[in-house]
Amino acid sequence: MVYINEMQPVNQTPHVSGSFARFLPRTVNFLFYGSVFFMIATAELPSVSGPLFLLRKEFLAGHEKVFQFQTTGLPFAAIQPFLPGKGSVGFIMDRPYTPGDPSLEQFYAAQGYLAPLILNLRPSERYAFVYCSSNTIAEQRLRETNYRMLRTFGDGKGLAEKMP
Amino acid sequence: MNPFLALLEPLLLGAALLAVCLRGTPLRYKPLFFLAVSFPAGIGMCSLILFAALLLGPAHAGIISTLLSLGLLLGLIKPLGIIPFLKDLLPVRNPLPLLPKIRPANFVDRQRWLQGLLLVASIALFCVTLFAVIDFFLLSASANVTGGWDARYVWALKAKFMFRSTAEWQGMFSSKLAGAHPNYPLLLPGAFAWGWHFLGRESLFWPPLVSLGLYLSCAFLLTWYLAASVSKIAGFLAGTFFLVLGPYLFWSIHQYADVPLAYFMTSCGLVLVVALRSEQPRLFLISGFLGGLASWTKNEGLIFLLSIGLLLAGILCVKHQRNLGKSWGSFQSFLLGAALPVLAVLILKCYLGTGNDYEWSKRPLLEHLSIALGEGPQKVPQVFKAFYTYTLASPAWKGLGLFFIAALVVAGLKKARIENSFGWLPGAIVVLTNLGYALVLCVSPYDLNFQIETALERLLLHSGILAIAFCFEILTFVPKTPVTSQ
Repeated sequence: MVYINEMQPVNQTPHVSGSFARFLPRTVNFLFYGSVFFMIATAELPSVSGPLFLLRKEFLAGHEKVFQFQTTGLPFAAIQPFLPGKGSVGFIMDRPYTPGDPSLEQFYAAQGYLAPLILNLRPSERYAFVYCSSNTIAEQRLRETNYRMLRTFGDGKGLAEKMP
Repeated sequence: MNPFLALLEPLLLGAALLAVCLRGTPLRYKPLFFLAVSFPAGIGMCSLILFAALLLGPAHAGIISTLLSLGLLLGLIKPLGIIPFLKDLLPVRNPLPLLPKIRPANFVDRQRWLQGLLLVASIALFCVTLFAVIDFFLLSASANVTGGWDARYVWALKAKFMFRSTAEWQGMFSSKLAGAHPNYPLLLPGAFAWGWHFLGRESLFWPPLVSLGLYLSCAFLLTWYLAASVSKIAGFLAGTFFLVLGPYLFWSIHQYADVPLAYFMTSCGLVLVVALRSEQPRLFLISGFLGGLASWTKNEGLIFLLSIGLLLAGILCVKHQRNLGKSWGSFQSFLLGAALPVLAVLILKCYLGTGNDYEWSKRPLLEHLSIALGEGPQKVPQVFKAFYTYTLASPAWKGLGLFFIAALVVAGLKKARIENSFGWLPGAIVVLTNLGYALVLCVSPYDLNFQIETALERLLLHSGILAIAFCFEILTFVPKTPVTSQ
């Protein structure tokens, strides 16, 4: 009898009998441990380039300033002073909001940097941040959304106000 | 404060929680269990504390959550006492009868020196792999400290709402916020934001460290479970095998929530197996808490919790047919453990994140049914082909799919013993979870190829660790002579 715990005796009789019963478990064990060991022994990590070792050193030293350049949406730091710290503003891009549009990554980056200010891709607020790829597209999108440019930052970027 | 030092608070909080829950419970390899469960349980608790602070006093939630977590730690340690707590970690004379003492491998059982040599080798292999993997994680995290898409634009975004202006934190649920998934559970954002409040700044290093902590806990969990139920050699080999699996390392470097979810699902399942074997109500409590934290990590975790709750109810009813009161007691402990995280999930789903930005949610029920009945069956071959490609045919999983199939076959042969030791439970969870995901892929209105390419590997992570535990438990032990529990 094998006791799983004191309350439950379990019948130990194997399902297969004879020499096969003795041979099979040993084989399964050997094959399994052998295969696992082979998998571990042949595993390898991808190679890494030199500068990463310097970055890791800074990481371990706790020097976070070195990593500030990786902050999500850092380019949007320049426009932050022109926007309110909270509430919501419109966010106008080249195309109206469509889920799955690859250009939305810029919006997510901006939202990450400017949170808790909410950027609305279906602009209805008094102010909107215009983030288009050219002035021509920006003008067209402003007409479509009924906004007018208040301050331009160049290249289709700027701050707009809702027209009455 | 250095973010590395901040890791100590959730680690100690989790250890104190476990110590209170397991006081006097002679769990086998308790220090390894604490190493495996303390950090995830602690970080989950910290996340819940911040959520509660944001609900109760949003203006001062940061300071409240920091003080509450420190206070809870002191409150738990004080009655416990440092010395008794440390004593409790020492090996016990009569550990819980989890399984009979099973020899590590039949082909070495008569040669103790060989067994000892293999044990030393397996520990050395585990330590070397652990060191290499941590080193690689830090190198990769240094290259991209903000992680992948979900980490940057979903989890960290929510964390920023919870940290930057706690009074405005509910802005994360605004319908104006595109693609922010307002009804997503908040374990990771809460953990990130709790750390930032604790450190007093939005540390770039904290999220990757949390991710690393949860990833390593998976390896320690496997090692503990298999060391306790099979052998130390199996435990360390399984831990090493987990560490060489590319998908887990990749997605934890990218700070996705799938590895934490995999951890909580696995820990809930494995602790439940131990609880069923030993019939210790306190282990049901811990299993429930870990399952609850799975539901606080991702929506899939909520479905997992409901499923495993039903499965447990069924098992207990069958096990104690003549004494249903005993079943109810164990089940109550499980429910009690899950109560706090589930309460947080319910508050989130019912009152805060009521919006849903999924295409799925905007369709009427009849449309769902027509998709399920019309297109669903046509997708079945493609879904199964995808599962084959991503598991059996993928070198990234190191043959885990084949091991799992072999384990299912052997489990069929060892049916009698498997049934009584609940060794089938991890395998059943793996099969049910993946069948559930396959069904969802078949009936989902989204493009199937897109879903397979973007989500399938991450879905496979959820039950992969349980699959490793199942394989190692089924394919290794062969006691031939009668043995009694220790």
